[in-house]
Amino acid sequence: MADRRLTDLELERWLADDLPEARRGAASDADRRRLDELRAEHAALLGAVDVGAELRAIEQRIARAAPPPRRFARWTWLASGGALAAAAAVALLVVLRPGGGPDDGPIYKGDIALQVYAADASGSHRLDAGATVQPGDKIRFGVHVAARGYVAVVGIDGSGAATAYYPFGSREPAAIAPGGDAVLPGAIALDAAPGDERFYAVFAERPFAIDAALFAGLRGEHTLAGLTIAEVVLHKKTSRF
Amino acid sequence: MSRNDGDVAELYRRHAPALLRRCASIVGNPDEARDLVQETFARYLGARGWRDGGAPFAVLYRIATNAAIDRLRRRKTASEDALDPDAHVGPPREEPRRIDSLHDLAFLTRGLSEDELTVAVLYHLDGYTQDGIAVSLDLSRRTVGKILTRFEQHVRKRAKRAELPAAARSASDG
Repeated sequence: MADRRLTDLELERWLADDLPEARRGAASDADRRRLDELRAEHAALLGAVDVGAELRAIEQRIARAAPPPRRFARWTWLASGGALAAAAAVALLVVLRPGGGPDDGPIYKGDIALQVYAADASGSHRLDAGATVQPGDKIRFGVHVAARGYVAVVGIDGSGAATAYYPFGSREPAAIAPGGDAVLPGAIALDAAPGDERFYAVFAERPFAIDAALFAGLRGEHTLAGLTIAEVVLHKKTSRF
Repeated sequence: MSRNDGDVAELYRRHAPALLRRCASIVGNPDEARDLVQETFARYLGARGWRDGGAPFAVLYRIATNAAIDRLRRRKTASEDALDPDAHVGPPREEPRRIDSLHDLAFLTRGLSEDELTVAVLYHLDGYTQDGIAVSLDLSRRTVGKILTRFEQHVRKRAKRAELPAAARSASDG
């Protein structure tokens, strides 16, 4: 390759108006010839797609990725500061699962722990993993992280329906800092969907999407790279007897 | 579309060709590459603050690389059982050993962040030098070196984990 000073990736950035001027100035004649080749290739690639159709398909994907709204009606979001007092001493009760499952290398940047608290007549108490809960039980979440980043708490019920609980109904995680008050604002009342309820605290150093891809990954359908996940499973009884 | 259609169309026209090339080079199929580019834009536009996040190229490129590698992993044409991580582990060297099998790279990069995966793919698949990666991604040479070292450690760990099942398989075969 004769006198190339810029990589192809830099040239692609150039075509996207993303390459700093200083690097553009460093281009050799060979770089400029390659730039012309890439420009022609880009034009051919764009000419081969219907941009309008692609944009519509992208918008449909965004709409499909939104958390299913039907769950919002089945769960009741309770005002924060209500039934549960913030638990002070918090012990960990979770499975710590780095993104992607047990065979994937752990992601050590920023461990995360998820706690679940229940409220009853006697006050609030921490639920152990595997605890049995019932429809109507009110719970809230606590999250501890070891690094600054972004966190979401989501749940997948026994029917496979997924819901974003924190931030509630959101498609984006909330910023979180290590330490501080671990109990998240708000509480939820459990609905009558039968089976185990799986709650996940998902953490990353950068914002991520709370979307269908995330939920599919939590169901084990694919790897969730770059995320650190804590999981609590609760068993829901639909009858008190 | 709640976003400004013109802005999104411009964003697409400006970046889609590079993303199509990236994805096609990994999955080897233009239709699948187009699908992955749709997925990439959907993830990018679906995230809050895409308009305020600075230059989108790097973010889109990382998402596309990650999505394409993830697609490879989910293909059923080859299984992880066929992977021999030991083949990619050698004595410490100044330059990390290159992995030239796309299939192996797809499995060996499982669990890496999007940044780490992007660097690993540029190095191992595209044959970029560490300096080339650094200037292309606006990273320091040192950061690229650290990421590749972490990747090599990641591969070693996977090789170690593979030792026991491989030994068990040998024993049962024998």
